[in-house]
Amino acid sequence: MAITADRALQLLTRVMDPEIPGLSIVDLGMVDAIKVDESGVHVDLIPTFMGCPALDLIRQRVQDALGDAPAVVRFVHTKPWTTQMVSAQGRAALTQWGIAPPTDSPAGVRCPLCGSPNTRRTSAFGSGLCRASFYCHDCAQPFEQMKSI
Amino acid sequence: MNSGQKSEGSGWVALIKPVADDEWIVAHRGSEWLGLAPDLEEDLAYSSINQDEMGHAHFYYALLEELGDPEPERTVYGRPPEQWRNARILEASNGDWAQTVALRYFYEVFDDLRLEGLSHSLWQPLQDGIRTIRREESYHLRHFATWFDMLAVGTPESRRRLVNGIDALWMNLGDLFSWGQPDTWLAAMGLDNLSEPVIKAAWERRVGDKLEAAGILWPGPVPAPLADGRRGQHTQDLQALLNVMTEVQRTDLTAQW
Repeated sequence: MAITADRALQLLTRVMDPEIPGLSIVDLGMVDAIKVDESGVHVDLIPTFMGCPALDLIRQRVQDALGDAPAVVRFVHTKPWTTQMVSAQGRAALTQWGIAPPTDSPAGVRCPLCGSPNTRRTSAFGSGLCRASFYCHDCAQPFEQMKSI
Repeated sequence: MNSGQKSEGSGWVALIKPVADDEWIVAHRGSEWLGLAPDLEEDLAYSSINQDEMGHAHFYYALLEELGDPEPERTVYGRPPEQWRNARILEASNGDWAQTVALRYFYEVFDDLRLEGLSHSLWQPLQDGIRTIRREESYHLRHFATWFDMLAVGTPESRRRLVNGIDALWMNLGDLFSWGQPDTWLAAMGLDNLSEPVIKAAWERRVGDKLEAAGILWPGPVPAPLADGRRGQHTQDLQALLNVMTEVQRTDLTAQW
């Protein structure tokens, strides 16, 4: 039976960011378009960062998630990925995993561990391309934020 | 790509190849700092920055493949030095961290101006990629502007080492602005802002302001290059870099990565 675009989107909610279990590529805002025609499912994904080393893995997982349906996965640059594309559910998943969700300004970023706003950005860079480093003055823990671009 | 674009193909290659090679080579030299940067935070930051640059290079190499070049892997691993189009200063082996800071600040300013120019190109896939790349590059420029300021006002030693770094680099920056050939084709593409005298003047203004704010003496206009990396004229350092970079790949040319 041919798969529908809605069904494909539903299946993609099971494809998680390889580094953040619980955060799907749909909630991350990476899915730009899904089209279905006689040749199969065409999925256009927006890469987060150009040099993200997880892109090949994500492509593979999208193909796996769509099962037997022949799938063509493309990375498109027609619109840039921005952190505003992360859904409310995605922001909650980030916090739960211990990563502060992106904000417009580095001031007032809440610690994902204790919720305190008494934090300081220690570096605009972190352990991955998409992270910045922070420190919480209340629970005295370092943490990371998904960086705003 | 339609036939209209294809007939301009050689212009696009001449435009994109030096950009791709600059990004790749600067990233490779940058990656050699891993574990050696002044502190752990800088190790993380500089690694992220260089990984970004390699991602950008890969994007440009993929465009070049569309224009008829070999696939990115072969373009990177399979070329002798004379086929690389990066500026010579970017292939130079690493030395003092302060000199690296000066070089990366100079390069990021140049890259910022170049990306601004490229954003007006009339090839949609290039324009789309540039938009994403610029969002990432703004972090790089800010990072090295911050380092530059820190060293300029930090201690007498940090300032001395920064100024020494600038002096060592200055005579060798010339081919950064070159296209390796008369660049009248840029005007035909509507990209006059990228022509050598225009982008060089814009760069000298921006860097001049920075030096003045830091109270560092302006070394004078950047002299014309004695040799031009954009024409494949490279130093021994590029051969050494390529030897290291391809070492693992050469052990098994048929391996799948």
